[in-house]
Amino acid sequence: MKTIVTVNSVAKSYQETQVIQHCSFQIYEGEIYGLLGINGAGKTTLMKMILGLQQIDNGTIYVLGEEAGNHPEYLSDVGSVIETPTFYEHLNATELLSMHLCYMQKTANIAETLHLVGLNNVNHKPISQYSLGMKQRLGLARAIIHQPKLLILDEPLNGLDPIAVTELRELMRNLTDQGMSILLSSHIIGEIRNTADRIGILSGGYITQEFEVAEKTSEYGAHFEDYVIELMRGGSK
Amino acid sequence: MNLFKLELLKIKLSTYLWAIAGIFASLLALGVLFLIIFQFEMGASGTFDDEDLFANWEGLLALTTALSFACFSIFSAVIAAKVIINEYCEKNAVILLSYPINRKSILKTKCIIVCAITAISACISNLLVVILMFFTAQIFHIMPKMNTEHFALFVLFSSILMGILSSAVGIISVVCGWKKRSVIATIVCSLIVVCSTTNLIAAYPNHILWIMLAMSVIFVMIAHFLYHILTKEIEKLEV
Repeated sequence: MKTIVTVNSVAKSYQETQVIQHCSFQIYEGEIYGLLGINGAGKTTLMKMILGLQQIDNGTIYVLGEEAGNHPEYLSDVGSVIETPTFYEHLNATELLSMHLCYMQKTANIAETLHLVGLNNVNHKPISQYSLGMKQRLGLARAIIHQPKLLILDEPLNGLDPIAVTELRELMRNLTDQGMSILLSSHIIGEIRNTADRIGILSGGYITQEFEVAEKTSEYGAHFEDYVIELMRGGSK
Repeated sequence: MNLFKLELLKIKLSTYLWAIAGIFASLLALGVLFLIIFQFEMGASGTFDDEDLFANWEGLLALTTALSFACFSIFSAVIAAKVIINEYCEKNAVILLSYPINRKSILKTKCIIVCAITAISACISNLLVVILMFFTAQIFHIMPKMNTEHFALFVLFSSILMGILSSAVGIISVVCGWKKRSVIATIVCSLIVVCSTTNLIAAYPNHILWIMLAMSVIFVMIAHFLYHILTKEIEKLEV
């Protein structure tokens, strides 16, 4: 299977605090990799390092064959929603996405993408009039419109209603069927379990455990959540 | 060219156009007031303490140019704060730095936009204010006659230099504001620069061009040096 992201013994510290250390994992083509960790585990930092938004103190990250950080070219094949997405609120969705495509030096069907995320009826409204959930959908539209090979989603289900959550899951599955790889982070076990193919537990700054969701679900059944909580606490079974 | 278009899309230009119109109207009102003040003072007592500044066109030009410089320098700092500080220090930076475009190129585009908006608006505003003052004086026979061709060139050059000076103050202020990651610090910095230098322009009306030329050279050099520091900071910026 083709490797899309290789994180190799990466370390990152802020002043005296070591946030990430000896962290290694890989993401393969067409899979959803769930990064699970408690608040402050370093999930967002790791994602930002993949995007080149944070410098790497030690180790290497390769994205689509290029080293992260120094060469921004690979970013045209990466889409991301990090934290709460922000926008130029005087623009409408069509204008925003068209601006984004120009930055990415790509072309795409804006109306189709807006339809995909359920914003086709409000695309001419200024973004300032959007609700939190609508902004989350627009952030996702911005992340996928240029048909990236890697999609990085930092807690993407925040602020979405249950129907939108289901639709987003279906959308992610469709995207991976088309060959896109997704890195998804969350601290909610149920959310990751229902979405990801593989899960990496980020604890103490590194991936303490990695497993196939289907395999562990069949092994632990109703106790899957207890198993994962134990792993997140630092234990291993 | 594409980057310029994209960066301009992010700015709500109409807000700045209203601000420019407001500055222009205030400067014009002050300019006409300067014409009238002199006539009133001279009519009442026959003497006037600040005669050098108000009794001839060089003095009036120095005064309006100094005021324009003060207003447009602060205006420049406000746009620079919005376009640069807000973009890189707020959450927008995450998406801005995720684009596959060299960070230097984006910053350069932003700085050129700030300088162009400031320089063009400051220059045109100052020219219009002086032209309108000139016609007002002609209609009401307020000021003495002068060599129109020479004066037109004088106004043109001083307006261009004032535009360059104001935009340089914007860049200087934004780098100072960057250190504090603060819009307010940017504007306060521009106020400090303006307060300490505006008097130089109005102090010697007969040498205004030379003074502004010297100031422009110094300010542009400082702005250029600080711009390079800012570039390095943005290259290693973490968000």
